[in-house]
Amino acid sequence: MGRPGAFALAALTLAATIVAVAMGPVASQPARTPPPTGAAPAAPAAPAVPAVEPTSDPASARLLAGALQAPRRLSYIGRLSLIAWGANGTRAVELNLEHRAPDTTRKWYIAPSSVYGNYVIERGSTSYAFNMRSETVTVTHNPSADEDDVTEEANFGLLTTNYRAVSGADEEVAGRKAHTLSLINRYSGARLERIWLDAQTSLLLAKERYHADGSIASSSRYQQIAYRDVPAALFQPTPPEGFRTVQGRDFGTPSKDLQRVLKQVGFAAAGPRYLPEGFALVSGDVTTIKGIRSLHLLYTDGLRSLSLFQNADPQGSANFKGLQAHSATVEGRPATYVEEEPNILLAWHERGLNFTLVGDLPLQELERIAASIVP
Amino acid sequence: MDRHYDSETLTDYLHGALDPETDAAIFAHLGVCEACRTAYNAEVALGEALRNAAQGEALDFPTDLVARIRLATREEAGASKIARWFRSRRVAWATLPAAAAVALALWFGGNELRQQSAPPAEIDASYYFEAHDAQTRSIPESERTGAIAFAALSDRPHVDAAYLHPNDPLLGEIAPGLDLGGPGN
Repeated sequence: MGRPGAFALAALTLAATIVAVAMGPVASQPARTPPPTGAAPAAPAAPAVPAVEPTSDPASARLLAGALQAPRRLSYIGRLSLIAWGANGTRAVELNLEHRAPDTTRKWYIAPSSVYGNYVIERGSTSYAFNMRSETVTVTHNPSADEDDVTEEANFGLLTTNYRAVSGADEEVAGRKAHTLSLINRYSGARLERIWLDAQTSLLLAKERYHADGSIASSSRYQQIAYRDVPAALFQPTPPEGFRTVQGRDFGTPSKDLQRVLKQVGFAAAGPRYLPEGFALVSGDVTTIKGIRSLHLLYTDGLRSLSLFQNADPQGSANFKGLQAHSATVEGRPATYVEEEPNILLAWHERGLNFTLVGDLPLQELERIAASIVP
Repeated sequence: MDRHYDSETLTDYLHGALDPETDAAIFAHLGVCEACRTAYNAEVALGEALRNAAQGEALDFPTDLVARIRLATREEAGASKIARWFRSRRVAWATLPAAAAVALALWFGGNELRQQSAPPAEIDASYYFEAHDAQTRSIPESERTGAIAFAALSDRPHVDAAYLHPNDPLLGEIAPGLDLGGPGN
């Protein structure tokens, strides 16, 4: 390319920049929640009361509530199968699970062979992942696992507000009689999930999550289950001899005090002006990752969730090494997305801020949400 | 009072191998019988000890073997690096004119591109998936996160059998020296 060609390239680039700036952001629907700013932080919006029929079956709502509480009062062991169908292939896991009420679980992986023999012990908000090959124990703290009753009630309120629980015929799962419930989105009328609950204990025995077109996105199912008092000795996270303890990811502590969170973040944060029907901002947290201060806002409709991460560091964009990344655009700006069922991640850079959206929503919906974020 | 249960039955109960009625009866019995509960806990502890022993055996390589493998790997990587360096020199000369043209184009039109492009990446994208999963439990039992955390393992079919059927005769092969008292003890 000679000098004339280089000049032409520069001129075209400059022209495109002028056009993009002149057009400004695309008009979007009225905000579901006000975008957070450094000056006037917004409290989470209360979920709107839908102008449709309320949950038609109170018994179904009681079943759902019982399902949420069941692991806290029941101890059990079982064999669990999980399958997820995604754009990058199908992923399946088989494991033996032992649960001691209220909050201690051990999972022993038996398939696929790449994870065979590994096990994870979860005790409250701390998990210990034992890797037989690398002879390491990875300790991870997840404060959100210690959800209080108020938080759980709020999420359950969103669930019953945005979804109808419709009973189906009883079936059998792992030799147990199970009630079936379909969770149907009130706004789109689409069935998002179908769950099977133990008729006697209300424990969740099986679950199917569906794509918008009705195909199955993922499923989990107990192949065997037995209720019994599991000895506490099984859950001691004592590393085998020779194992090295490794610190895992540290995740932020979610907070509903968004005013405090936005003050901590240290830059003028931005939020979406468009969200799918029923979504509400429920919590935020600030985490320092590799020295980079990052804001995390969590939105949910009770069943689906959306996270918005943002930081103002010049070196704070996402690194996609090891992932199958694809190109996308957000308002004409280059973006990148990765699909890992059931979630999609969409990342882009705009006016000095690095944004990352993660959610179990279609890519087009994420792009629309991203386009409504104007720093 | 109902009858006591032998160790074989308690082992079957531990592994969920009994019919529902018997399972329920044993569950109720363990709630009131100290002796049977003690025997049951002993079976649990034995299973743990056998699993730990099997894993230790499977991963116990002689240290000099590991050292020799690492040395051979390093030597092989070094030889490959030298060959690649020579090859890259030839490729670099061939592409020099095209590289110069690109550099000229960027010099005149690159300012806009630099402002539009994202800064060097620092944060693993997988962190965002994990942070989202951690706060939403959007995956059943968070299985995707757990599975990804583990590195690949080699196939160990004999350990398969030992775990699924701990009283299988193969167990003696995996944990020699342990007094198992024969299969089904």
